[in-house]
Amino acid sequence: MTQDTLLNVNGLSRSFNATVAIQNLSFEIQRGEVVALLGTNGAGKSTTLNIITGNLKPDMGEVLICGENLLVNPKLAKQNIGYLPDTPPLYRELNVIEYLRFAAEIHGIEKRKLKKQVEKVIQECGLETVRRKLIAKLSKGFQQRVGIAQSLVHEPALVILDEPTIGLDPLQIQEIRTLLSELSQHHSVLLSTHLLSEVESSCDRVLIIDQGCIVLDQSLKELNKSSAKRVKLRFQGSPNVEQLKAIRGCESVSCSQFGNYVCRYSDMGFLQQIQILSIENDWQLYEISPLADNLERVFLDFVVRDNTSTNHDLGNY
Amino acid sequence: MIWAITKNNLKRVLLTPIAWILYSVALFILGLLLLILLNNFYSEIQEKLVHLERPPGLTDLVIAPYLFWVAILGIILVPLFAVRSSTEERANGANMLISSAPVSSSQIVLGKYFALLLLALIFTLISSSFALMLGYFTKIDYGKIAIACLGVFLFIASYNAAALFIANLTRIPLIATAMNYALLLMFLMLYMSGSASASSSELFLYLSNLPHMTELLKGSIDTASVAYFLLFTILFIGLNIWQLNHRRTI
Repeated sequence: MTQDTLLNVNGLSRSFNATVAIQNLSFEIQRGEVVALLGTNGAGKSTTLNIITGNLKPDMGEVLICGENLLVNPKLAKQNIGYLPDTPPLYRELNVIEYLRFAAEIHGIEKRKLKKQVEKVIQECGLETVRRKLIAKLSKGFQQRVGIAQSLVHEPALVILDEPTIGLDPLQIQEIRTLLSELSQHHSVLLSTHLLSEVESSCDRVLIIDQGCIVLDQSLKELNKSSAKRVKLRFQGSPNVEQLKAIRGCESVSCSQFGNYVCRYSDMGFLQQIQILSIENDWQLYEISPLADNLERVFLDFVVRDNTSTNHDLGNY
Repeated sequence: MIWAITKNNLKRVLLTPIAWILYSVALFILGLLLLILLNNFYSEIQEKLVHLERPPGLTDLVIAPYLFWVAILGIILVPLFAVRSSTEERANGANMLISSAPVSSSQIVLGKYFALLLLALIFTLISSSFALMLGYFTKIDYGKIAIACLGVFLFIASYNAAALFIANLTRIPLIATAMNYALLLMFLMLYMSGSASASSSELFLYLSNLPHMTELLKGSIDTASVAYFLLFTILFIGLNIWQLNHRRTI
């Protein structure tokens, strides 16, 4: 662990009765990083976030926030994090300023700095026009902004956001995304989300969690480099799937009911070989189109184990 | 930190009309009760007192029964404020703000408890002032009234701790309210069965909070009763803190 390590999660395990929610989970977040935590529903994301924010005790393992052990010294550790749960923790009967003042007070902001901090966060989150409005009267998008503002009011080193765009309309999602990208310039962020496009646009690193274990911890740059390529093939004839699979460099082949083949390959020689085989076997190849290899693909590869070479490879092809 | 939580809880209760409506209804009922007690005193009781050597005064016969009803209405209101302060907060997820902040469980519980305590104090002061107004027209024993008011306050304050504990047990406001009133009913049953001539029981009477309050309403400081209320409060505040810590482990 270096001085720049903001969060160090080490060997976390947590069960609920007989159900294992997370198992021996370890990862780190460095200063300035924006990390996405991905996983299907029930994968263990919320349990992980609840433990990191001190809302749940782990059965085993430790969490160090800026070097402070969360279980040993929770007050010091919690001062360095801001948390927005999936349901924003709002007091609907208060107005925005009253609410943010309270959030600042319980995070130990001194009285003389309180007003300045609240004003600052109101500016940052674009809440100037609604500062005196009751939270209950705000739109869902603004309520989410207020939720984000409370997580920033004490200027934490690490901001943890649990599905910040859930339940918002496309316009509101766009607004929150812009806010998040501004946020990532000043804070490290751990973002839990289902929206993979959001991760691709704003995160540096991705953690994929499945059945309580981290199955991938990689930067997006590395991920894009290492991913196998995909191509869509269309033939007039009917090639044999086994023959396609036997080509050197081919990783998988899927065939749709419309006769489209989607092949994953790791060797550029595959494309050449397929053309040669098509001529030799009279498959009458008439289309080769490269397919974008995005995060969704990678995500599905890691979390969907059954039937790996058929359904999910096909998508809408 | 505790004061910030107290202030927030007070604000949340007092900013909505529900608290004011409840206070108004309770004070209206208490006003009527005082009127009935006074009317009863002047029309029926006063003439019987003439024959007694050392007759009890207005303080014993009107103000003490009036303060008894202040206490009863007080603990009927308490669960509603406790549920508003804790159960509703959990139901809409707002409790995550405090539980993720650098605040200990004891600070959270004490902050909420003090808010309920202040609400109880406001209620006791306003409703007691009705009785004190009688001092303009006749002689009353201010010492006795002060001790009786202390009894009422301790009674409501101690029940606040129990109500807060129950309100923290569930995230469904209706269930929390029902459980709170069930506890009230249990104390009443203990009192009734303990004082019934056929099945009188010292233990039942000691366990119920009502007899301890009526002791103080008599106007003399009963240390056993004061100790009961203090122990009752400490027990439930302790249970509350334990429960909040325990919630993080389940």
